Amino acid sequence: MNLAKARGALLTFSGALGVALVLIALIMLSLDKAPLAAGRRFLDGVFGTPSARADVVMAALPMLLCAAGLLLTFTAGLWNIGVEGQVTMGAIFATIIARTIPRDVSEWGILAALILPAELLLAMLGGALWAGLTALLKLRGGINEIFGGVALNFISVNILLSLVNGPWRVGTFPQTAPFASAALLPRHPELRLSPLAIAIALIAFGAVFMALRGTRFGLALRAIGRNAKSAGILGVRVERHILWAMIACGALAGLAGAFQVLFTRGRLLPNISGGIGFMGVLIVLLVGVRAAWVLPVALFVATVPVGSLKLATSLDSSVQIDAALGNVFQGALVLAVLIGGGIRARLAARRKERAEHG
Amino acid sequence: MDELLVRTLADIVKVGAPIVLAAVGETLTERGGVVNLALDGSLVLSALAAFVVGTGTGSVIAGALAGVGVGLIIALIVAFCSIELRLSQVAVGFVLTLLCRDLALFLGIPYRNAQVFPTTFLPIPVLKDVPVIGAIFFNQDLFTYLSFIAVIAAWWWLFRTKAGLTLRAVGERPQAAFVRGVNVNAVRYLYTALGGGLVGLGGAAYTLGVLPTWSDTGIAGNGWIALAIVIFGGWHPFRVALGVYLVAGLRSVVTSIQAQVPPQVVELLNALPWLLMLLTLFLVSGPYLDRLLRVLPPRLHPPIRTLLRARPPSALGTVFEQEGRR
Repeated sequence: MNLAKARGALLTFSGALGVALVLIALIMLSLDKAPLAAGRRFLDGVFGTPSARADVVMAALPMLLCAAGLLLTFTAGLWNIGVEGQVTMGAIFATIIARTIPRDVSEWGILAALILPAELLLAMLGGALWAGLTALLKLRGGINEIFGGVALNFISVNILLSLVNGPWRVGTFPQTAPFASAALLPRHPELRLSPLAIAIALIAFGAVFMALRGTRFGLALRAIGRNAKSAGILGVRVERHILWAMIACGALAGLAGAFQVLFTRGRLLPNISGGIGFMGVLIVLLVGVRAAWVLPVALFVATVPVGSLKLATSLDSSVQIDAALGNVFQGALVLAVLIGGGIRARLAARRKERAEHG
Repeated sequence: MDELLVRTLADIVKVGAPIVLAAVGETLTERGGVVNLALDGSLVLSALAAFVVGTGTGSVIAGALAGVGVGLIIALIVAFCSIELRLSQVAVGFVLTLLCRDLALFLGIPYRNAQVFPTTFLPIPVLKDVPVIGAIFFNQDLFTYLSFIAVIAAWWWLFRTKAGLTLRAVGERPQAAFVRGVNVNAVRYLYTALGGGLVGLGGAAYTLGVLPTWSDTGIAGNGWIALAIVIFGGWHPFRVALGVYLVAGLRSVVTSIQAQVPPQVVELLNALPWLLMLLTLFLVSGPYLDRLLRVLPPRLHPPIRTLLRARPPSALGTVFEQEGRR
């Protein structure tokens, strides 16, 4: 039964992937680009070299963190669209410490070892605060988490722009100075890769996976997601669980924001999140809130921005295309998966009905 | 009246027009029980379509129709996924809003600030000379008039016609409406499409009227404001329009003091409309309205209730299982 289900899901996914690819190919053809050559260039750009593969892994980490957090909130039936702002707040909070770290910390002794943990914890706090605020607006103010989240997303961007245009600005562009290496996530000597970041992300994902599978917390979230009212009657503390699910998601999103400033960018600049929070939402929708699939799907989704960037910077004009097309592909794929799943469910229901009525 | 004030009010009415059109469209859609959460992306994509067709043909009408068409198609996708496939309106709407916005940003690259659409300014003779009122309401461009018409027509349709009563019944008690012989899902298709068309017209109002050019920024985000205003407006066209003008007024205040403050403060001021959005939602949906009423004299209760009470259509966001049709 489970095997048949997995096969069905894979079938839907392949079909949807085909539809999305055809759409992208048509757009490319209409712009006089060569889709097949672009596809080859894309695959080469994400799998061809060790450094390309490292880029994909590192791009997947913040998405994985966001998706892990969103697994908690989606399980409880919450639409934490505010995850994007929680990433931004994480990046801002990590920067509070990172921008003050000097180039030379050789005299700091044991304190130097505390820089990174402090940055990461503060980032988690920033994300958690923003998520907690969304939860409070929902629980105490009756504001749906979608609207609270959207408003707080825009407000977090305003705060970010205010900081990099004002007190934190260094130089002609609205951004901070590059952070000192002691403030950054340690890097692999040859590749653009941070083993520590990979370990943190995998541990965080593992913790969420276990929490959903084998703890009372996970069970309570599932009960709330199915039917919050019944869960409350059966003694689940609905409000408290909603608050904690949001805070946990915010903390993980904040960590993702810290990865953005402490590895990917190495400084704070506008659009620091780059939509990874929304990509987290798309990933969780793609896998239908099934935790086990999140890891491979996050890696798959991460190939899109990495490969799109390679196409955008290509010198060959027949495949050179703006990276924004990658976002179109992701959206089209998720929509096609949703619709495909819906069609499959309707067909199954119709078959069942026909069997029942003879 | 002060000339500056009149000019500011006229500007608020003009800048608010696209959001009024979108929010009134969404009001009709939600009155039937469907949430078109794709509104924001829909607004951006229809704005681009209207601009491309409008500048290509040189015709405002062709451009506006292109915008309406795009908004209508997106809304129909939401309705189809909800009614036929029983998918979550929130999931489909959210993915669509991202997809449409990204599609518009990509397809719009060659049109970025390319040109300005010729003005659709259209003062109404005689009426424009009425003191104050004329300068604010009748010395405007085409889309501003359309926004007035949309508000009044939507109100009249909802509360003064039998068709409007049917629509409200479908959004409140679909089973009861069905028993009375109403084809619930057909009504929902109709008003989702109509509402989407108005959203598309709102998009056209940006690129052919307010801006009037294609730009990456300045449109996205307003759809979310419109969605929130529908709630603040209690699903009533007049209150919805009032909500839009409140936000537009705040924006115009921010714009007017922009030049006198440093850039970091400007960025913080830009957050004010979002704070206002949270505040208004808090007022109408939180438990605090009742507490507020308790301390105010009873004489003030009815007008405050009319102004601030918001109760969503009971069947909003649900699927209706029509008998004999699976």
